[in-house]
Amino acid sequence: MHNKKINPHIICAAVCAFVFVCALIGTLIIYDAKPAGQIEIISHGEQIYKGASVKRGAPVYIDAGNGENIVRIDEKGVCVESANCPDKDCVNSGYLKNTYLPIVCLPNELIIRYTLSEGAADSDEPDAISQ
Amino acid sequence: MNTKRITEMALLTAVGLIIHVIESFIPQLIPVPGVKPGLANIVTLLALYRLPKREALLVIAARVILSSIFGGGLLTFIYSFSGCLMSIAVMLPLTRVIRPRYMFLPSVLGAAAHNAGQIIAAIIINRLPSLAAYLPVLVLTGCIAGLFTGLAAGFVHSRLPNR
Repeated sequence: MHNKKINPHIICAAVCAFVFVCALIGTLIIYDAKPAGQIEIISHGEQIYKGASVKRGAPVYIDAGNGENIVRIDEKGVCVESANCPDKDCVNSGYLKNTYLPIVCLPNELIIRYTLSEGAADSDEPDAISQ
Repeated sequence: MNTKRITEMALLTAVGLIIHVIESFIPQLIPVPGVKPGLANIVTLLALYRLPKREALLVIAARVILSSIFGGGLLTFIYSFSGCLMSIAVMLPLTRVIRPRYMFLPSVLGAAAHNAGQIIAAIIINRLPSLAAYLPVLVLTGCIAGLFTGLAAGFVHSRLPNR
């Protein structure tokens, strides 16, 4: 019986195409998620804020990690106002607008995300702030 | 190890380091943590294709350690190392069966694995499994960047004298 040898280049190209298509579908699904829930700010593994995702009137500034990141909550939502990290990815991320994709500052271990909790209120007042 | 090989290893390490430093000045196109062109992957691919396994791993390790010293700290090293480990685990066996002309194939899978490794490190460091949501976008951008660096590495390899 004649055994046909499978070309490793074709297998590798097929795996590349499969990975690319899966990643593309995953990206489209995740980016389609609309913001929902309350804002949670985690700095160095500790929750420092949990509450409303918008603040009417004057914006609120939260110092995360002793000046490492300044988080701003205003009527548009939540964003990182300034950061001392080298890449400034967190600042460039802009306002948080996705349930699945948090704003992350990897060097300063800061995470800002939406969290779904029971009885999430629309109130401007935070549930908790700890500094 | 002869002088010619040591020189080639030193050159690859230096070029990788220079590319890494230059890349840090390129503005980020997508504001997603971890999304980078990964141009230093060109050197990794060249090392894997041109040097014996042991020497190639030495060049890659030197580049990762020196890049962390020049461009960051311990966290940078952890992210680079975890990404590099995953990338090498994928690319090393592939470079043995894929011809240099098709270098972009292991490069694409290696770049995707590199980003997956960094996400795993980020999840462990931040103790936040939801960071896995970044995986699809990082793998996607990794595939595109890997294709580009793989083609560039193939171009360079074809113009270097054969060993």
